[in-house]
Amino acid sequence: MKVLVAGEGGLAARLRVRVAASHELLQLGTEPIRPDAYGAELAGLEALVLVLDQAAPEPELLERDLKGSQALLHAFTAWGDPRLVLVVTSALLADPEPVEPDVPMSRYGSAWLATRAAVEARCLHLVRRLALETVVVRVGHVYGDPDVRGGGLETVLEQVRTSAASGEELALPGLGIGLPFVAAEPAVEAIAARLDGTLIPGEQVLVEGFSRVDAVSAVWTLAELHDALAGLAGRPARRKELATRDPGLTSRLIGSLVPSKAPEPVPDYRRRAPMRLAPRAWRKAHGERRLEVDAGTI
Amino acid sequence: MLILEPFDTPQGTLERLLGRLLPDLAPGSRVFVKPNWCARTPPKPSENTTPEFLDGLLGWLLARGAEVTVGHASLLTPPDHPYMGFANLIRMARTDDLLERYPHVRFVDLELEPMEVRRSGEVALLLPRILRDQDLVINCARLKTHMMTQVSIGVKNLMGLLPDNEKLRLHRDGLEELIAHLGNACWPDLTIVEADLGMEGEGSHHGDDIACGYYLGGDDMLEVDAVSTRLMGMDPEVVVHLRRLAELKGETLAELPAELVTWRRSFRPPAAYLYYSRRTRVWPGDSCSTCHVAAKTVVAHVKENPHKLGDLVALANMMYLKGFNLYLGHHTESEPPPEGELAIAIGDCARSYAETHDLPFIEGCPVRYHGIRPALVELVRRMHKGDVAQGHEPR
Repeated sequence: MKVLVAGEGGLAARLRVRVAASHELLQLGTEPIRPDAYGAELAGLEALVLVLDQAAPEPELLERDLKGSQALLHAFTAWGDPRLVLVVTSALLADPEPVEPDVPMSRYGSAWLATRAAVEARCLHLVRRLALETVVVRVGHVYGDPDVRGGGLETVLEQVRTSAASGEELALPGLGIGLPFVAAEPAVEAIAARLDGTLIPGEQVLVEGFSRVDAVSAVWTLAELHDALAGLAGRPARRKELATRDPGLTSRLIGSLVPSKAPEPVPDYRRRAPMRLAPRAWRKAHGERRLEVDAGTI
Repeated sequence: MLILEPFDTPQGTLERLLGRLLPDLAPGSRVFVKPNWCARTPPKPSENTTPEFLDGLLGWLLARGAEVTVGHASLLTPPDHPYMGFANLIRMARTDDLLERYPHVRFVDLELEPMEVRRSGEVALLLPRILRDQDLVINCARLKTHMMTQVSIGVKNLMGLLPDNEKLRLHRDGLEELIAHLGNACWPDLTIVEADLGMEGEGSHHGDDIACGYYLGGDDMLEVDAVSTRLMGMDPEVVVHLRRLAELKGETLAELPAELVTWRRSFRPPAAYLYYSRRTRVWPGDSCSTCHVAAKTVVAHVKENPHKLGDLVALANMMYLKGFNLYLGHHTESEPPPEGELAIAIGDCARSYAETHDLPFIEGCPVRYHGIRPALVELVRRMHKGDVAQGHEPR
């Protein structure tokens, strides 16, 4: 199979090495995802692997990851011979499948998360229109060999370590997002297995990680990690006050008497009904809506 | 077939026009409608396809049992500027209520659609595959002058079908030639020009409204554009993309039919530059909107955020006293900037012009909205110190 692995980080590089062993790997230079670089170069491409794991300032994320991925998908559908799209994102572990392609930043709180959701939505939409397989891999915090330093996660963990040791407050985006720590090697193997066809759609792989033992259950937020490290160093936890704060007598009394009717927080795009009823006059004139279900795309 | 229908109301005019253009539209026909949605700010009356026009068109088509799709791609913006995707576009075009009023109509963001390659001669263009599945493609244009292409009518309107990166490529690699190829590769079945109001002067965004009082429609896009251009009081032979498209199709540009002569207006042709402030001129060349939007930060900087007195003095001097010229896009190198005024060039397209005339240059494609402002201030400051040449000097 002719495969392109687009992405700049260590995970993409490892994937390229692994994929080249069993497939024809398309080489486009250093493989950054750019909005204008692709065209007839993708002729005959069968599988596209988009690896979005590199941090960048907001303009970069919009330009490179969002518009770049979009351009790559356009070129893939036009010039390639599409069979499979694999999107590797890292941040949206517990979120539902995004359906709204232009997500508001406020919904996710950061451009990083919003661009990942937007790319996932675009991929899902596109592959449904084409009725081809897509796999979204939400891979968590990927870490490499301990002796290879300076990677994306390594930099973040260094900040967590420094901050925990000095007893300072930690200021990083996405502190509260729970993600598993996954070793790069098994993650690469799992992704490559789908390309090889040894993994069938829907099959799950227990990817070892962290201490290489029952790693999938080790879902941590960076804040929790910070607090745990701070505890080891004998420093106060970052969120100790928040965790033990007394809600107050009045709040407890009211809480015990009146059951909370607060709606469960639902993303904006889930609140909006996907279809709306036509006004009665319109339905009278033109009839009821006909639902078109294309079995081939579901 | 070419039909001009005098305007009274959008619905009434469309009813008469479409009744003559599409007398035999079969129920169940798949119809794709491409509106002209180009405004990034609340649109001028003659800038966008109006919601009333679209309302009338959709109502007419649905009443005849057509399966209608309305589609548009996003607009170009700098990467650090709010993304002008489909959701923002329909909101800006005041069309979002049509989503509710016409639940049978599919509103499609073309950026999400699978693409296919269409060829015109040696030129390959990416176009949405959805167009191939349609029985009828209706191209809804406005009657406007255009600072880069002289006119913006049916052929130019097709650029709204292209994805972001293709639009950028067209601007970079020769706009008029590639628009002609786009018209050749993607020929709509019907072109309707909404010309109750037209736009003269610095179109297609900064011009003035001019009353025309008709809708024009036809099944030959080139004929519609050529006649519309003549109705604007302009010669289509000088509009490069129309002339090239005629060559590609092996046709000649249509003359103005005698019965339409009374509808001719004299549109003010577009100037080569715009004023952003009293003495700040922007020469857009064939630049795309990313450079335009980014260049607006010059004025925004002075109005919003003068951090230092020196900046304020330098910028006020530049904008209100001495004169300042911003060059975007490609320009004829034999035409130098005005003598004795400051001038700089922005964006990769203007690089060779900047080198020819020794102008300070801010590179980038696309140019960054937030990057251009500090770069400009720094440049102006250095120009006032005498570190950088102050634009073109007579030789």
